[in-house]
Amino acid sequence: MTSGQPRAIDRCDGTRLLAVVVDATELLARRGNLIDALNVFPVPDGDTGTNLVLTMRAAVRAARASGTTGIGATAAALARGALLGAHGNSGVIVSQYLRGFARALTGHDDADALAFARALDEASATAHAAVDRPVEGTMLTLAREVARAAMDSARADRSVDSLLAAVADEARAAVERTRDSLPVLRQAGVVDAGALGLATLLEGMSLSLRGEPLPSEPAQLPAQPAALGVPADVYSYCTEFVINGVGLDPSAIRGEMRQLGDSVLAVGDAQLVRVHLHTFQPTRAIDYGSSLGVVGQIKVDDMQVQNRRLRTCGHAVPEATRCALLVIADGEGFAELFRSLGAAIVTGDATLLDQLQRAVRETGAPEYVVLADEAGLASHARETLATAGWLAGSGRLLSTRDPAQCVAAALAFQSEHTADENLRAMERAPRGIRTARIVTPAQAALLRSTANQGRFVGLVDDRIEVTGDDLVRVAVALLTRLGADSSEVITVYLGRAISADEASSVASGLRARFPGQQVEIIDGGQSHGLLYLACE
Amino acid sequence: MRPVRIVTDSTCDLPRAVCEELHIVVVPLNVYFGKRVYRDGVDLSAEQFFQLLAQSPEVPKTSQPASGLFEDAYSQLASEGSAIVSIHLSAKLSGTVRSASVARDALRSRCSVEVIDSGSASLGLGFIVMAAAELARDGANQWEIASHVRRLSPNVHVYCFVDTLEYLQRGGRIGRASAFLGTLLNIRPVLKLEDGEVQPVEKVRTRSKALDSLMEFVELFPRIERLGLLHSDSLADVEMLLRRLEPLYPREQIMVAHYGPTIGAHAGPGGIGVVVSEGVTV
Repeated sequence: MTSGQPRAIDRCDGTRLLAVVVDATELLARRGNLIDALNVFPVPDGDTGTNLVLTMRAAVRAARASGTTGIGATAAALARGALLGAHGNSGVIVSQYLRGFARALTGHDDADALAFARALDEASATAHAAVDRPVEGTMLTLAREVARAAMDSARADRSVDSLLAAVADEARAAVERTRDSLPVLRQAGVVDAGALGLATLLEGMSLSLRGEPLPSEPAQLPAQPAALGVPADVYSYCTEFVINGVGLDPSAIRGEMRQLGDSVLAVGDAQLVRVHLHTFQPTRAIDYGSSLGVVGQIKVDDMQVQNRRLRTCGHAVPEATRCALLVIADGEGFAELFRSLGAAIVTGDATLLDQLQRAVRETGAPEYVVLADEAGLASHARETLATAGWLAGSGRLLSTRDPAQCVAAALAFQSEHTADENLRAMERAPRGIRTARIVTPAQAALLRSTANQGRFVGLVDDRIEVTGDDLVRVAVALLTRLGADSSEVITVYLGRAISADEASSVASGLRARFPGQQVEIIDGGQSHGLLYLACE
Repeated sequence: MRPVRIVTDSTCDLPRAVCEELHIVVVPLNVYFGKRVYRDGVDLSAEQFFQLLAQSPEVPKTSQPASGLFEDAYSQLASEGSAIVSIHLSAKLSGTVRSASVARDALRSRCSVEVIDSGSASLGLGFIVMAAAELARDGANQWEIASHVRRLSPNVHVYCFVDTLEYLQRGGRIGRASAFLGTLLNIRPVLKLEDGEVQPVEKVRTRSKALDSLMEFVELFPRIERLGLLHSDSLADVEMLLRRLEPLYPREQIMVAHYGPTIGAHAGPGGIGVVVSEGVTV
């Protein structure tokens, strides 16, 4: 509704270029999740959008810091920033795109449409040259087609805004064409994520230059492509680093890297080369880099893990996680619940240590908290953890009386806090809730509590409070004792032994008896205990 | 020296009397229920909005003001001989800043307008606007006001909880609080505005714990220049919070405001928020 008056813009200087790139980066960020979700090529690791956004933000930061106003100098600063801050395959390609763009404008204060079109052409050529074996149907194809459209527009119309409008139109069409050009995209029914990323940048630049609002995203995220798995024979580690040195030769480095893996990129200049490859031997790649100069910004991602995460969570790139939460959970319902709170699930059996090791590796977090309830955590598990040194360094263990309290503790967990900070908050959290449980007489006997009457035994803190043959009555009596009448939320976790009929009579009975409270019934699936009850 | 007038948008959630007293010009955003369009605060009050929200089967949508509205406001003030500082809702949440910038550019030769992204929303924006309007009243020039606003913005904090993330998600304003989606339990998300967008703070399950969380937040500040309380339609909680805030800040100076229709469309019913301005510290 608020498009600006279209007015011809004949020249673009550095200040204007930076302004439109800032807006284009914003549009890219809004579309980032969508682009992540589309990412199936070359490897479905689901991070293309995120990588492009990080790369462009680095470019913008560098250009802002440079304080230049000429288009040549600003473009050079963008390119340098992108090279230093490039993330992922697509980020490296975009950094080369910017580099070519900048090279064509070296020394220019501003650019008219023709100079701009030539720069887009040089950008495309430079990006192509950086890629080892260019594949059609990717952002490289889009770059080439867009350059051609730019040149056509510049010959017909001298304004930069018309040129960018033509470029954005062509980019949109080119994105659609990628759908049919790569078999893997056709199979997944998606367009190429990298192509959409570059098209988004160009579209954002065009909108910004004309003063039009950026469309707000996200529309619907596609569901299917995330289901593609990484073939087991694909080079498994996405490896990135930069080499700082003297007399570096990017093309020679590329040749060496090709021996070690694929999706090889090695770009930069004699002093700084950024390397990206997919390989089973990340350390050999890095060692080679170290033989040439000082290696920095090392990043090695296990793409199998990323892909697995993408398929389970729909998003491959987690927020910066400082601390992971590992829960020893009893029951599939509890496991699901804890997963929905961001936890990794382990079971307290003999393979506990193996499971913990795997979970810690997959979360990639330097610290972790293991959370368990007394019933789920057999005492041997605690000993196992202690003897294996798991609780000495970066790990902490918190055990609560029952899984309902575990839930309260898990709600207080924040992945960006340290393990100790989390431990403090998680220890405090269960104090705000009151819990009880209903068990069978046999289970009560194990707790050395004797119950004489009734099929259902109601316990508060392992002390028998109520017994009876009517599950709902026992539950109501326990809840009343816990002060449910003055609480806001009542949560009931149903055990594995609870039948569907029992479950529905518990739900309706409690809702009728506690109309002023929000009663939530969760299928916990626990084997210890028929019902856990919590009031808060 | 030319006098300066302050322009803002209807998401500032300032009571009308305050805007009149400080001569603040408020440009309305639009709120849609189905095909019906309302101008926020002009044809739809906060009370009416929350009634509609409860009754209407339609989910409200919002849109930024047309840049023409800003052009009209700027032209009018410029014809009265004023320079303008136009302060708005975070650009990460709305295109309003862009709309204002388009108007500024279109009128470049005739009006002197400084457009500022407050990086905030609701009464957070409101407090920044009030500070600017007070400076304008006291005779500060355009540059002084703009500079003050830029230093003040990072010191104005909005902390709130909502009944459900549904409205924020549907409106695409959920930001990093999307981390709270998908929880299999009903949670009451506590959120804050930071870096111009909605960020997650903590997940609690009850309203009383959410209110505790707001209290703990306010208690963090050694120095409070202004304190505000925002709500959608929860007067009982407001009264209770006012009583608890009293020891920290004079009760009669706490500004209590409704979430206006635009903010309400994204926060949904049942929300409460606190806004703390530390004032300019550097």
